[in-house]
Amino acid sequence: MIRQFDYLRPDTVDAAIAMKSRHGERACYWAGGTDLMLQWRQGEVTIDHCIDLTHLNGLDGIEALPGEIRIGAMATLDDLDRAASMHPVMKALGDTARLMCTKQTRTLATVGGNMCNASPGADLSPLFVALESRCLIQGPNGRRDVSMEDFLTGVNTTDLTADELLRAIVVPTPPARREASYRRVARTVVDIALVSAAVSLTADAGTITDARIALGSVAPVPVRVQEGESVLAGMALGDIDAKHLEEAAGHAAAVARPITDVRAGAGYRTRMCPVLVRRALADALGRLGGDE
Amino acid sequence: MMIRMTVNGRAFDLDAKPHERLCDLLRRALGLHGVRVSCSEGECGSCTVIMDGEPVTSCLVLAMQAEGREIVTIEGLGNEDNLHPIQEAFIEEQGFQCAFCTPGFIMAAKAFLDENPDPTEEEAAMAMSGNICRCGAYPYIVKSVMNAAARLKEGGSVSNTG
Repeated sequence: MIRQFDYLRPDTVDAAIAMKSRHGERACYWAGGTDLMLQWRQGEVTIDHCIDLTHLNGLDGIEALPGEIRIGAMATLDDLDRAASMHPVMKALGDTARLMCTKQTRTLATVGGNMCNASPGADLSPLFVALESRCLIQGPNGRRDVSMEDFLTGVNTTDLTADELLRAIVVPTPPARREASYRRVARTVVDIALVSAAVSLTADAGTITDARIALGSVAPVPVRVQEGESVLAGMALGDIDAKHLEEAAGHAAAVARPITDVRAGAGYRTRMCPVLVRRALADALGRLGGDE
Repeated sequence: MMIRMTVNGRAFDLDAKPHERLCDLLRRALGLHGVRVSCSEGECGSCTVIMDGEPVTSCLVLAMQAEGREIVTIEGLGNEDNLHPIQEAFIEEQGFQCAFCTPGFIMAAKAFLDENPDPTEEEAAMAMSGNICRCGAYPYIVKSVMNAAARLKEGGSVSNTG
């Protein structure tokens, strides 16, 4: 059977949502298409109506607003890479984007598509969680927003209802200094994470006011390491030494729920969690200790 | 569905199927067989073309997504009588063996050198990591990119649409 679909091109987000509402389950939003093209060609998804978001205006910008950076859902991974110097919180996101797939696919793949595909191995999702990011969503009944932690609900599933559309991801930029880092184990370049860890540390007047640690690829969704976070929260920057990082990272193994698959064993993944958390914490701490 | 796009400097009105991939349209409608399709999964980089100045794996792009865009394929870079400096560099350094992957490598190199005209070898190798050469000519490919950078710096630019 020749696989084919109808092609629809909305001019506005409202029009896109109306098309999705009208055509229902067999209609699909098409963003960069780098995952969807393969899923469709391999018969993993059936699409009768492709709603191409490529030609929509206004969803692909990365904007610095007061107190937050707004990443349009149609911004590409390459755009994220190029926005790395915009703000300290964007550095880790840009560095992470650069690790993903290949240059000629990063120019197509969108940040929003990556989140909506909701792969447990997605590199950006633990980092967005560590950065307290929120998702701006629009549906037939208006707009709402939800934290990235709540947006990702399982393997390839999100909080989006059938006709809702992810408009943007908002990364807060608090007045205090915040530095983040993402570390992963992958076989080589152009690979997906076997296991990963993201952290963000916020410091005000020399004291850690907020610490967030999230693991990737060890559960259906990113997992917070709250006991590790509370080791560091409230500490003076100058008092934190290797022992504290080790202690905070040590809590990571207990919350990891990895699977064994063709890429790595559960035991290996579990043992790498504290290692990656420690490295990511050291990165973020090093940047916090450095000059503004 | 009729769509208009610019390919290698010329505007075309092309009849694309709704689900047709950009690589297939370029090959079918314009006979641009330098767009090599190998893995069809965006892994190998063989089908790399330049769209609005950016390298893309054309097997992952719907033709409809490319409407109104400017596409450059290997055919738009140079020709037998007037090779592009990157093509000359690949010949001089023997940056290929069977050459199936070569157009993709050259288009990736073109986009890379436009952005970073004075790369280190490591940067050149990293920039080529989106392309796979089954013959394993990688060391020669990296040399070719460095050679091309030197040629382009000397102002060896030829008239081309890229």
